[in-house]
Amino acid sequence: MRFRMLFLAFKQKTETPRLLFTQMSLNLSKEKSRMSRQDMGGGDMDWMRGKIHLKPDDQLQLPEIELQEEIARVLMMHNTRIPDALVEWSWRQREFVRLPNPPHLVTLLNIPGTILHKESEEARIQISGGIIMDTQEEPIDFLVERDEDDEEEEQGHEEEEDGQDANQEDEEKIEDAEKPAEAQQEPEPEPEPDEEEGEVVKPKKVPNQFNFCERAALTYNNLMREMSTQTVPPPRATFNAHVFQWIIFDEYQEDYAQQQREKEKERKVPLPQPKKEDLKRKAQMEAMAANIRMLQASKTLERMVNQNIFNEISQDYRYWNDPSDEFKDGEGSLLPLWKFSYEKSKKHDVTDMCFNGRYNDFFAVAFGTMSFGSPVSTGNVCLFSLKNPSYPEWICPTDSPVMCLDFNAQHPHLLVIGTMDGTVAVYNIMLPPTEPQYKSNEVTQKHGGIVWEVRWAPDTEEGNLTFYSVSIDGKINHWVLNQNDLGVTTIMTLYLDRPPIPGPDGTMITLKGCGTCIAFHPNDGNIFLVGTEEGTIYKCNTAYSSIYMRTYDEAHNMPVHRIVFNKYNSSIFASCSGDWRIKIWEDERLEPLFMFDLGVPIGDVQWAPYSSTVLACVSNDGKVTVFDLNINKYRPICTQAIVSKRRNKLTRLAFNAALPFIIVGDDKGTVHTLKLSPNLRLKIKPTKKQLQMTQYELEALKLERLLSFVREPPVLVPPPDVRITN
Amino acid sequence: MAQEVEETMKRIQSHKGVVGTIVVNSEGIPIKSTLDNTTTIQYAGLISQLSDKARSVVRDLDPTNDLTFLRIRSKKHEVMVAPDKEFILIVVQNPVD
Repeated sequence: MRFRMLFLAFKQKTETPRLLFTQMSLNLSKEKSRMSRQDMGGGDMDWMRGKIHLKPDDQLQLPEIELQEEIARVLMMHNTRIPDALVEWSWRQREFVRLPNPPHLVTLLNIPGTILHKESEEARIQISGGIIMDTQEEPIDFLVERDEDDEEEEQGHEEEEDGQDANQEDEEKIEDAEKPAEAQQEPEPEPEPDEEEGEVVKPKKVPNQFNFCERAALTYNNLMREMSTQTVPPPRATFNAHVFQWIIFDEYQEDYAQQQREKEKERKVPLPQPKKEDLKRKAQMEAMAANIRMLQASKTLERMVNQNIFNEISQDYRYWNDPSDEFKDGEGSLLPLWKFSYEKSKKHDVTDMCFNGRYNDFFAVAFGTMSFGSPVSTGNVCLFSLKNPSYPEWICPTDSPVMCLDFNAQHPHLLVIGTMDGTVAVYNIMLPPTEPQYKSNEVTQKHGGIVWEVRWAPDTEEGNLTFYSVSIDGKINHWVLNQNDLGVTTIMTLYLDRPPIPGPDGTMITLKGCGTCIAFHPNDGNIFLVGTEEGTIYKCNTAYSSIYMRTYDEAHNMPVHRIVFNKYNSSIFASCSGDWRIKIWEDERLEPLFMFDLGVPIGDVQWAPYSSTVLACVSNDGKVTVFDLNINKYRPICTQAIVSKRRNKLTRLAFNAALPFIIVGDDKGTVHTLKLSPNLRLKIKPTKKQLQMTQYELEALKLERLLSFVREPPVLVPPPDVRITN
Repeated sequence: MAQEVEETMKRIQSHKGVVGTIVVNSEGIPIKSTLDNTTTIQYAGLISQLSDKARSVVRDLDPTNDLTFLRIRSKKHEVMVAPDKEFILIVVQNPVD
């Protein structure tokens, strides 16, 4: 179709060949531009070149004047250039068919209107199509409908155009129509006229502007109402927490415990709900536990405070060794460390002290009185720890002055005490110090006088704990800790080897020995030694209650205060007395091996645990005296005043089993801690031959060698008398 | 029991160089103190934070382990802390006299 249109157009031109070329070139360029449009994606700039006019080589070159020359044209009704004989090849008739002459009408512009005459054919078609024109509203509707149709059609056409080549489409349309009139209507290359043609074919509607009126009614607008309520905002809380490894661990533990509990529940019959009382009790228990922890914590804090206060003493205790010992030949000194006292026992005497077997820094102190006429009527048992010198760990007030105590070696929490009124009691120091766990019966079991010494003994065959007590009434009792009470057996009543003396009303009174101290043989639990007020030492056996195995008559002239077996040689024992003397005895020998006279009553003597030849004693003049028989058999290696001679006297002494210090008690209720200087705790150095021997064997050997020097034959045979004069 | 704790705390207060003792409950509120109000609150707040952190450190190193005591030695004082989940005991001592 385009070619034809072009052809029509050419005919109007004067210079046909030139124009034809131009048109062809135009066509070419158009083709090119289309191609270039396709190529645009590739960034080609061919479309720019489309503006450049290509001139064929044989184009007529007109001079400027000719170009400027005006060519007048006359427009006429008749198209002079209409070809007069158009033919077309008909394939059907196989010959050229003459075409009708094209009309002279040239449509330049064709705009279809929406108005049509009422009496036109189209209007009639529309009316006959059932459209009633009487109502006013309907044409409007119709209009609207029609518009919509148009739009749809247009859209449809556009879609088609997108898919197809525009030229082809145009040609087809013209062929379909096969009307020359229509062909004439299409001088423009745009597709719009085609559409309009289509529209013309369609039935038209008859709205018009002459008898059309629009009616509308405005109804009331419903008022817009906005209703809203504000609810209470949901509670918000900021939660942040750190997650540490231990928190995760705890959660897992908790989870595991929960799982175990559930398993238990499944296995068992579901338990009834815990009662209120149980819950209450549980809460109470928790409160108690917290309280106990608090007490523990406060005690530890007190120790910390004390550690700070006594820091210097602690350092001395740990590290200070008297450097002058190196120059003093065989003599030593004592370094005073802490002092222990209990405010309420300032007037008491320290009557006994004992280290705990489990904890080396823990010891018990008995507060009683040593003098007969003392106004003190009560006593105390205090447990001290080196970690807290300012206050006892455990305080137990007693009705009667405490005279002696002893820790059980196997059960370090059990403490037995003996008092002035003759009772014995066993305390469990893990319990609060209110009531003793065992106490002798006040009427039937008690001793008749002061209990001077108590000692734990080996257990019975049934496994019950036992202990011995010695009292001033001359009885040595064996106590057994039964389930609920103390069982007592008197194993020995000390009698004096004297005839009974007449009593006031003619009765004869058997005199008894007043036991003051007792010592059990370290290896044979049956054999024990008893010291008495009379100064006699009896060697007894628990198996024979009425006879002495041996009597050390007149061993001392005053009450025996202490008998102790040597730690390394069980046949050696020492005794001290108020007659100023310390005597060292050997078993089966009535005469002492050594005898030291200090010039003052001696309160206590103890063998050192670390050496077989060292012993220490305390005397009434407030001095501690240490002997080392290996170094000096005649003089002490250390004599040191600990307390004032006039006011105080020392009563008791105890070695620590492992640490190099001793504790001494005085009559003002104070316990002094003294560190032994290096010279006082010399250990024997093995010779080359003795390298494989243990320290114990070495110590025993040392003592044995020492004894061999001093031993006299048991029986001295007097040499035969020789006459010396003629 | 509570009485014993009170006695012990009283005794600690009477020791040489002790500046003050504070008992803090589980909520971090000082319930007993021998120091003045401001210092007490300051100590209670800071020490409880510190002991929490210290416990965290100890438990993070070994979850089966736990913090029992805490001693802070400073130029002027030594602060001794007994942290527990129910309470914290704080003792401030001037160790050099």
